[in-house]
Amino acid sequence: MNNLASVWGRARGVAIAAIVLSFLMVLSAVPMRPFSDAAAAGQTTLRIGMMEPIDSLNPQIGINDNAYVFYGLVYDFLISVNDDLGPKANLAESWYRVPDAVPYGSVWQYNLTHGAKWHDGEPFTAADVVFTVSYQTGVNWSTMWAYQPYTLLIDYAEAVDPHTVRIHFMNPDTGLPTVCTFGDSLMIPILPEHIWKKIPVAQGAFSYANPDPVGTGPFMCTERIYDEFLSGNRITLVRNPDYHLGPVKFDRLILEFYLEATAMVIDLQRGAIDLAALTAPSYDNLLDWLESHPSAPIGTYAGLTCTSYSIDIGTCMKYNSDPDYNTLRMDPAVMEAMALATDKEFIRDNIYMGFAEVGYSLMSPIYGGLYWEPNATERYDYSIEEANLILDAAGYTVDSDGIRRCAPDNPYKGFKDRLELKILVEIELPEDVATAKFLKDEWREIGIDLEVDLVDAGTWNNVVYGGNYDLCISYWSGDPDPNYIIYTQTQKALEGWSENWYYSEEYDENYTKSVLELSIASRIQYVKNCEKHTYEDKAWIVTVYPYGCYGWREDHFTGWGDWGLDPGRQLANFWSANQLFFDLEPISTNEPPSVLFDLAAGVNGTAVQVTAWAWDPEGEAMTYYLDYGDGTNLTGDIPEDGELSLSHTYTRATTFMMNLTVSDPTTGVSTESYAVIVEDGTNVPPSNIRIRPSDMSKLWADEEMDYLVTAKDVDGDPLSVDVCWDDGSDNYSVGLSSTSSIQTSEVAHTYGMGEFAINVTVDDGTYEVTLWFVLSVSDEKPAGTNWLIIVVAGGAVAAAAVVGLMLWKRRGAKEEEDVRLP
Amino acid sequence: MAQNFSRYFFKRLLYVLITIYFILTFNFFLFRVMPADVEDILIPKGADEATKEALREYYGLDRSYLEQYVDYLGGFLHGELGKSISVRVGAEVTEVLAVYVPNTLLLVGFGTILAVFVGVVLGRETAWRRGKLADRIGSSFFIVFYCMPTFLFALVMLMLVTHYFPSWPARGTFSDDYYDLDLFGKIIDRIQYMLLPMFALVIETIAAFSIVTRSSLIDVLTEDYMVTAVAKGLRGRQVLRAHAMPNAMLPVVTTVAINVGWVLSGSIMIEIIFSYQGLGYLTWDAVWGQDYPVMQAVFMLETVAVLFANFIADMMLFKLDPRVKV
Repeated sequence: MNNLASVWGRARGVAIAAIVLSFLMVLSAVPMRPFSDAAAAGQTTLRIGMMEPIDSLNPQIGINDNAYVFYGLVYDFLISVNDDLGPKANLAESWYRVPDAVPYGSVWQYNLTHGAKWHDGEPFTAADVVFTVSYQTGVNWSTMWAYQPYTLLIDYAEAVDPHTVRIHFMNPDTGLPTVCTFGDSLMIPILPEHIWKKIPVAQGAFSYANPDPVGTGPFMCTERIYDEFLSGNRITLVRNPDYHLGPVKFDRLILEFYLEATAMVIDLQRGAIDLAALTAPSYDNLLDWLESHPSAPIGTYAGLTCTSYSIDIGTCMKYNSDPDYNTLRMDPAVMEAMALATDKEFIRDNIYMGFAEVGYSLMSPIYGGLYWEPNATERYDYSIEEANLILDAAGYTVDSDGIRRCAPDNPYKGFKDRLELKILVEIELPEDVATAKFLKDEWREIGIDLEVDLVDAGTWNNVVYGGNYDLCISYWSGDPDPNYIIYTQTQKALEGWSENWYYSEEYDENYTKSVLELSIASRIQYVKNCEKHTYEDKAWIVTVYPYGCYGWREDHFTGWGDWGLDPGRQLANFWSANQLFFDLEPISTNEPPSVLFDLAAGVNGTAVQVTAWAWDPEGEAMTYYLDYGDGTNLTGDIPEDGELSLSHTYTRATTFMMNLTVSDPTTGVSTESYAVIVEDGTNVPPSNIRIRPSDMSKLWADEEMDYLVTAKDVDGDPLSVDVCWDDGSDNYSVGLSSTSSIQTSEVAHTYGMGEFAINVTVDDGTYEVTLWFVLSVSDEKPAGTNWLIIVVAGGAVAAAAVVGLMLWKRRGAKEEEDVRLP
Repeated sequence: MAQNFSRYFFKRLLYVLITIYFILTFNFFLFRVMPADVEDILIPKGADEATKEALREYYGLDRSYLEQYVDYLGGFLHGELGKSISVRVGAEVTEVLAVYVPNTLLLVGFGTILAVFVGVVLGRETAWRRGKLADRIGSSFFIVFYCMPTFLFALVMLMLVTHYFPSWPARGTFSDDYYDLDLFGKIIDRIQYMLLPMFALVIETIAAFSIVTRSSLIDVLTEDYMVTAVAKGLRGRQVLRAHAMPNAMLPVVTTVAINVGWVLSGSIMIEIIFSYQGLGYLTWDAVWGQDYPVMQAVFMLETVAVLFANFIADMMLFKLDPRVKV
């Protein structure tokens, strides 16, 4: 047994050694590459909290919303989007349809900026634009999938000169030149030719990690970007000081990724992040918190997103889908009944907690004049009764279990004749899951048995893009020009873009006309026709347009603007050079010093004591400039305790106006006081009167604080001091002994929150002097530093170590205890 | 007849290697017999035929299963685990793991070590004082924290700590100034970010290890050789330390070995709540994104970790338990 005991003892020793050793080993494995840029300290940083890390650094691959935001910060487009979602000059300073091109509108010319450079210092030229277009068009078009709605119509690009580019458009069906309406809205990030020409197209489209993104955008990646991307913790970007549209007004932008929204709300509340892209429930929580903290400097916005985000129930319109699936889903009567039995208002109010609007087509009201909404006769208002009538009329009977069966001659009948449908839902989207479960109950009332199939995103993609399903819940976002979003329902989009496999000749005709039509009025009509088709054909039942929900710190930055009136300022505007970032200006958190400059008094020709007290909230070193008011002045450093005491001799008997300026390294504050100089033999009034908290750093509401009351009488007269606190409490009165030096009295007092004008009256028997001091008391205790918790944690560790050591040393001392055997 | 240690060592090592081989093989076929076709997962639908062909060749899908299998084993031996296809598109799986594994080792590894030591001590003391006030308090503690959902405890802790210590980090693995810090600064930074999730994580495992230790020790204390030890003059803690604990540790060692699976898979809920980028979150992300190369690597890593821990446990048991030698 002794042997076993020693094994156990040795094992314990080895284990402790192993802890230390493995800690060092693991630390040696974590990234420790020093960052060569300027130290982060003192830099102004905009921190943006987001759910979900970006999925790729490659703008040809990434698909999540945050990845697009990242691309819009690092890369530029030819033309960006202004606050109203209209075109704004970026890499292209101006653009127009080339007048002599046939047909007119088939060639667009872009006059490029001369001021842009790639982040690695290489000059940006027309060759880069030509390369970007060539990389994604022609034989590469089908592989380079990311921007196909734009590249579909592009024939080729040519460089007229190093700063002029022309893009030629063609009809993809005929190969002939054709007009293009969206030449001023080509939302394609421009890539550096000198880097991307080495990347084969297939890799560029599907597997190239782009570990060191180089763009021309307002923000540049650091040398640790790839490590940061891999870790999914945060992405740090630094200001591009040479940005061709002018640099932003802060040094760094950090995207902070959260996996859980609660922590993000907490960080916004306590100011650890400046802007948060929130989920609806977390936004609701934030609003609740703001109700109980109305003075919190947090701005909020919840409204339609500039990307026209919509939630859509899709019916798979692929006729040759797997026979396991129910072809009755494509029966127009069934599709109409499902549309009628979908209570969109319930979904908006309950599942989206009111942070959404009822939807109709893939284009939300954010499109303004292009938005189409059904009128009273066109609209399918929620009605279970009407849905049942339609199914009855279409020959669907109800079985004993309440599920409907189609008529034997129903042309949509495949292998199944009962309305048993499966709806495919991504399990990680809680609102979609709730919607599907709600529909399961609702549609049961019209005789549809809906099986909710919860799958992961990968499976969802495979099944949906393979066309083997009944119904699904999906979402769409679009670009400012409607071309992008309406393209998704065209025949060209069937392989890879379309989830519902919808195809309609009429829809395609309207789409084609919409992109080829130069007349704005006609184009609007074609776009609206597409929206109407989407609504009426019901391959998409668009349930809601969810709001984008954001919160931001108004005490950290100014210039947020109104995201409802100016949707182009939303964080979701990823179309490069978002004006928001150029308007944001950091608010200096440095507070100026507080200064009490005391009244001085004395006799002509003798030294007068001039006193002041200064305190800097940040504890920074302070300097002063003192103008005695008689033509002389003095500069110097404020002592560490803040007490400034100087001696000065005036040569005239009068009252001088003194001026004192106290500065910390960032700001300064000036204050004035009097020096009352009398002739010898005349009574000198009380002077150097002051009241101040003993410790400004601990001054907060409802906490007792000691106040120091000081005064002096040069003649040595006894002083009676009366302090009126200005909060309704009793005055404090004290007598100061007869002496010619400064006397101090200490008194405790507790203030509530607010601003108080403290009145101090000092009487020497001849003169009564009254001075006012204004004191502001805040409602919350100042934030502690990390050191506090480090000390606490250190103390706990030390205590544990001490206890452990004592136990170790006393391990033989308890031998006397009885063994409690059974 | 008693076994020789080196013979026992090599025999167990051989079993481990054989198991790893079978698991590697299982891993290979697992992702090829699942309902979704591996080609559908690896090759995007939007690609044209030439690209699809190039990608088939890139992933080796144009070859027979046997050839793919041989390539797969060869790649594993050379540390080539492929490229991520959805979690971090295009990145080498080894690069992804190199970021996540240290985070998990720091968090869950140290958490487990801490939990073992604290749990065993608490279990020992409550067993030794069974029926007394200390035992009743301790046992209540075990039961409450063992039953409490980890995510609930973590959320409550997140809110409390961030409220009372406003500058304490609530998310992530290290600060944005981490790269600029010296070694000491890095250690402090890591500890600061790790403390909350680690505390949330260990509180349950402490309870689990305490329960095992307590019940095991109480069983041992009822054995006849305890009476013998007392009869021959040993007293109190001497009996506990020299006779009871070594035998009571046997099931604890086994429990710890089993628990090592958690060291690498981490605790998904904890990592999500504190946005801590560990292997648990990576596994979750890879499964949702059907990132098969990452999934294969993570599953393999977890399997090897469990096997290795069991191997170590076997070696310790050989030393601790004479019956194993027979």
